[in-house]
Amino acid sequence: MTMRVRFWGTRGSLSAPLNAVQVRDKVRRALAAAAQHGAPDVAGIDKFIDDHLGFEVAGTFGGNTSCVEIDGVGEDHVICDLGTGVREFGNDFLRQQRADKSKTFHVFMSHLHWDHIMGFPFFVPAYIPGHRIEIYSCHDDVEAALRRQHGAPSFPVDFSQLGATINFHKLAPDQDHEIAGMTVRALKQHHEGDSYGWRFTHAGKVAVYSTDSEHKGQTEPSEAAFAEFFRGADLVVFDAMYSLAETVSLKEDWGHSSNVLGVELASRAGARRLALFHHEPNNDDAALVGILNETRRFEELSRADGPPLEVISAYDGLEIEL
Amino acid sequence: MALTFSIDGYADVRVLRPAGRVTNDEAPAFQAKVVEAVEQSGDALVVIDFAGLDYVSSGGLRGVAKGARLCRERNGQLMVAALTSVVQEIFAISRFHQVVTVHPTVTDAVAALSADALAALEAASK
Repeated sequence: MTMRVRFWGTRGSLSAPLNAVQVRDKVRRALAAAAQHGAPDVAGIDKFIDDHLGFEVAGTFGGNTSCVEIDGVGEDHVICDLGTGVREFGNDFLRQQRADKSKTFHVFMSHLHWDHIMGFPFFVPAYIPGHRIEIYSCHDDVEAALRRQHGAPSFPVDFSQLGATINFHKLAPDQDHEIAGMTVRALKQHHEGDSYGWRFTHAGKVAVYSTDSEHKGQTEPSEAAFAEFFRGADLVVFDAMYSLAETVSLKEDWGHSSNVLGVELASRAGARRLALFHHEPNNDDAALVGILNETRRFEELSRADGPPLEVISAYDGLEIEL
Repeated sequence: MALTFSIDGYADVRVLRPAGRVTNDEAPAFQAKVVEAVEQSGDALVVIDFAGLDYVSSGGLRGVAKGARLCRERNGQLMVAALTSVVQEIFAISRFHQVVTVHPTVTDAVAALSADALAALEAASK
């Protein structure tokens, strides 16, 4: 089986759904393109979309907060974080009822800030007896954080009423753990209250999930540990919430990083592909497409003798085969 | 090409002129020179002339930001000037126009900081 990564939630800090004005603007721009290039017949609509509409018009990055699935490894399900994207992951699981998959979920937590746990009360499989949820973290207080949001006065159903079997596991960082058929390793990151990146290795493929992580520059000694953590990864999911300028001025020490640091760090580590992640909720689709294009240009400008780094921008619904 | 530097004084303004590429390996040396230029300028008025730089990394830009902060703390100002085309792109991508004021030429930057320094620069150019 081949490792696949599915993004169910890619937005940072707060969910950010499209509104009617934004949807209307996309429709207006699509119709303007049709007026310019000639409207297609019904059979030619998809080709017209592919040929004439950018992702900022034909698609959207989505508005769910962090939730990323690692699939293709074994019969159990593996996800990172419980942002609002986990609601759609759970619904998809219930719709599909895949025969090759179990009813066990392994959840790896980056940290416990609200946007990374807020989807759990809407993760329907947690309400169904017979499901098993194994939650892994390097923090001490995961269970307390989930129980606190899952009950009065914040939510009508208490955590104790969940039907699934839920277990919590504290893992030590900087060492390998064999879980769900993968080698899993955590690394402490610079973020208020600490966060942890996760490196997943299976059958020679490596996926790194590193969000809510501020990098103070490649000259910092701690960056060598990140270069090693990202080393040779087939995919690095990277917190690129802010511009470099913001991270050295107004938003310094806010715990997030930039597209520029992502390119430099992933290139230094010899990673194959970088996925911009944890998108600033104030950035609309056009802004995020612009940032992606700029990031690809920066990769060209900064590339040394090594192979090129593929740069993508994660969006809700994206699936990548490693 | 190795990174080289010069610091020139025009009245109360110091103009730092690096040449080469500021990679992340070179960034500590670059930042040290930025700080040196700030220290040399009694009023913390500094211009970095980018005309000789083919590339600047995030580490180099952090050096610029540090210099700008040091100058602000001393009621002075740091400006940059004469960005090459690649460095212009990197400034745009990193949004660094939000961190420092960018001028087309060193003369423009010096003029924005000090009339005495502009006179000294023009005299030195004759």
